[in-house]
Amino acid sequence: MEFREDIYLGFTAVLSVLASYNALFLSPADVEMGDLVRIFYFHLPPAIICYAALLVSVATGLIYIRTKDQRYDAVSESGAIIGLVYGLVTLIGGAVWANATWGVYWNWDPRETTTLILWFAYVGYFLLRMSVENPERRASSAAVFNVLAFLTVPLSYASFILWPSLHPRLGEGGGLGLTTSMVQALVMNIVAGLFIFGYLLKKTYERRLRMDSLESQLAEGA
Amino acid sequence: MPTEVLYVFALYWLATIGFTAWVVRVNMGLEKKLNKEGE
Repeated sequence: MEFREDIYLGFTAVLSVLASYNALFLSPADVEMGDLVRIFYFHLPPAIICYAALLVSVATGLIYIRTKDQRYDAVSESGAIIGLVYGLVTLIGGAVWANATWGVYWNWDPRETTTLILWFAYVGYFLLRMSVENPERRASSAAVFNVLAFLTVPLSYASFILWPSLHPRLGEGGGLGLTTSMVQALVMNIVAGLFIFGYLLKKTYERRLRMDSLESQLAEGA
Repeated sequence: MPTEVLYVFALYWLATIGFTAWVVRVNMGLEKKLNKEGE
């Protein structure tokens, strides 16, 4: 069956609008946090997109090491681009939420700090890519670096378990005890986010393939 | 509605729409260049 991009994009747009409407107007306010809990519906999806994108990036990077197929490096690079963008969105959104609840944008909380380290690790990944000219060497060294950089993802995820943290946890006293309708709003936004991720991954991958084709056409013409 | 909610909502959607628009635009530009080179 042929993939219909217009139908996929239309479905994603409708789901996103419904999810946002649910999060902003239908889901109830939290007993402790009040309406500020709604930030969560727009803070968790970019974090999940970031983690998912980096997981795809490292997995395809490892496949590249085995196969030396540039298409896997293209997926790996695309995943890292998306991870970098949504990592920044997560960091800034988290800082706004921190200011609203803790009264300060940044307080070096373990979750904040490890996510910042994650983000800089992937900035390093792109600096490495830019510094190597040979495509095979660039892909290989980026894949190896990606494995090391990816260690920051479980570190960021588990940071509030490993160290004392103010970051809210789901379903705990003093944290976020979500009701059924809150969970519904959250799941809708996460699913919409994953559909967006799928579309962006496809588009960034196509961009890289077109860039490679153009480079090889120019090299043939020279 | 607290303004912080609207800030984070706007940040997420502006980033998503902006990133999507950028990648679609770059793809279109590359496609055009590829067609030109192929002629």
